[in-house]
Amino acid sequence: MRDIQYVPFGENGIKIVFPNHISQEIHERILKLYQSVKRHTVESITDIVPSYTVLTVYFNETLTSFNQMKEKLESIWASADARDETPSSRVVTLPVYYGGEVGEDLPKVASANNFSQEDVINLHSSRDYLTYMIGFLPGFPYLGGMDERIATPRLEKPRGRVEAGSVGIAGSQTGVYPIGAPGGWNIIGQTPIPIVDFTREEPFLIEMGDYIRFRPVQHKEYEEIKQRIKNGSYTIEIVDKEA
Amino acid sequence: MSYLLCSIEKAGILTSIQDLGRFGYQHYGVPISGAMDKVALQIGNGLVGNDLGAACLEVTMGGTTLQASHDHLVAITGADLDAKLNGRRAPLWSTFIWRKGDTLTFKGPVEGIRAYIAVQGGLDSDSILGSQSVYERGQMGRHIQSGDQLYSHSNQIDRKKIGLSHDKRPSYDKDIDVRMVVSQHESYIKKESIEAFFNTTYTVSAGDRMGIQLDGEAMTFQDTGDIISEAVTFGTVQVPSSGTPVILMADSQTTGGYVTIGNIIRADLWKIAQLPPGGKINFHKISHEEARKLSKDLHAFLSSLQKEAKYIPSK
Repeated sequence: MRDIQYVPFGENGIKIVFPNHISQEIHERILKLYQSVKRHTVESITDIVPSYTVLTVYFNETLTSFNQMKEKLESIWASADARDETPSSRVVTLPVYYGGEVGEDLPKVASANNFSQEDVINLHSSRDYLTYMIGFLPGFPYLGGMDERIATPRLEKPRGRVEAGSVGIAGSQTGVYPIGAPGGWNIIGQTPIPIVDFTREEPFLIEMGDYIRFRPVQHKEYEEIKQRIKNGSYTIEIVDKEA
Repeated sequence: MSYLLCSIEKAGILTSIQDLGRFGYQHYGVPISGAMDKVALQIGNGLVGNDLGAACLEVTMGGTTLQASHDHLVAITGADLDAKLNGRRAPLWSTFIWRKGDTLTFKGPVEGIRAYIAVQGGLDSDSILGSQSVYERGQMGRHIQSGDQLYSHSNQIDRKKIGLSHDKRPSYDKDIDVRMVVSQHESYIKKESIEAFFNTTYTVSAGDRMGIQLDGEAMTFQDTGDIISEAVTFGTVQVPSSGTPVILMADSQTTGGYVTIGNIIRADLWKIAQLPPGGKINFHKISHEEARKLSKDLHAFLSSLQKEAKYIPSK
């Protein structure tokens, strides 16, 4: 591919740099490369970190060099690119209780954009959000595609603690806090689904390339789901995205 | 098996269990963590006969007091934090038997700022995502608190008193030279700023396990210093909008939206980990090929520590 560059990242990393703008097309190319590199399980690779426009591959520099790794990745990419398949992706549904004590900034987001709280809930939950990458905190998804009409600037003064599961808006981005942390996002609700759980076989719920669907629930259902998660009877809704 | 090692009388400024870190989870936003000075940690493990990556106690700055609960073979490496065993100077860079009831104190920095206690068998604690390294912000374990007890995987003492010869011990200067491999973001920064970066001395203004802030020549951007977020890691030098560089350390976030100048080479990271506030840094550019060679040399030195059964006996 002529529009991508392989550049060193220290002595143990290589960055595959795609054109410098955020788009679903570039995301899909990176996802495809990411998935095929993962499938090849190259022993000297220690981690692969996808982001909006760059795929970073870390390797054990005592086993391999930049040039060897570059050749390896180029050949993986050539064979992956030749196959005309779209990368697989999933839809993860997160039930969300909007407003109330767990979404105290919902009234603010509504009034800032001249909507009712119900309008904000509808606009926020009416589309699937693409996970462009994971970063900032363990498991934190960078989601794209929020309706600009509910965009709201970050809090002037970040909160000392935002609870795990909190769903927020910062500028024109939306996201969900995987763990409790300080943060400046406008919190509009909370999901009872643990995004990160080290006792689970798959500790991280969300992968790059997943679509997130927020499903509004009433307080009663929110509490019920919480209870069912505790006793292990709740199955998180994950389906393959239809092409 | 798990054996009681010691109790923590005073936790000190920042003390935590660390190993070589957590690998293969950066794409989930999980930092590498692990020892800030991975050279000292590995030497300590080599001395007590452990796998080089076994979990040790990382003592930062000091203010720490520990009392042995049973006899164990240990080695203290890394910074000289004025370590004392029952009030007398404790051996550094060599093994000794820490006897039941003996008190070990780390008063404060004499040279370097991070000391490591390695114990034969390695420290026993919860492993999360394949590592015992504590990363409190990500809820992976917590720092040591006064009153805690530590456990070891072994209570064997089957090694002679051995030490690392003086010529092989790292020394921790307050004025260091470090080498880096430059990133692809060079074009975002004004050319004269890049030149200035490699020709001036920076001073450590503050730092923790996440990153080290520097004082010195502020850098100016061609246009903007903001980029679309991409991977950063332990050793990446970032330039936030203020223009003064930050060196990301072991608990670094995994992605960042600021321009980077490059990555400190792995063979030099330990020097930065031991630099106190006020310490001086000069940066030098090298190629990734040279950096790789230096890393392999370091790796060979550390591996030889473990393979050579005969250590130079300490006096």
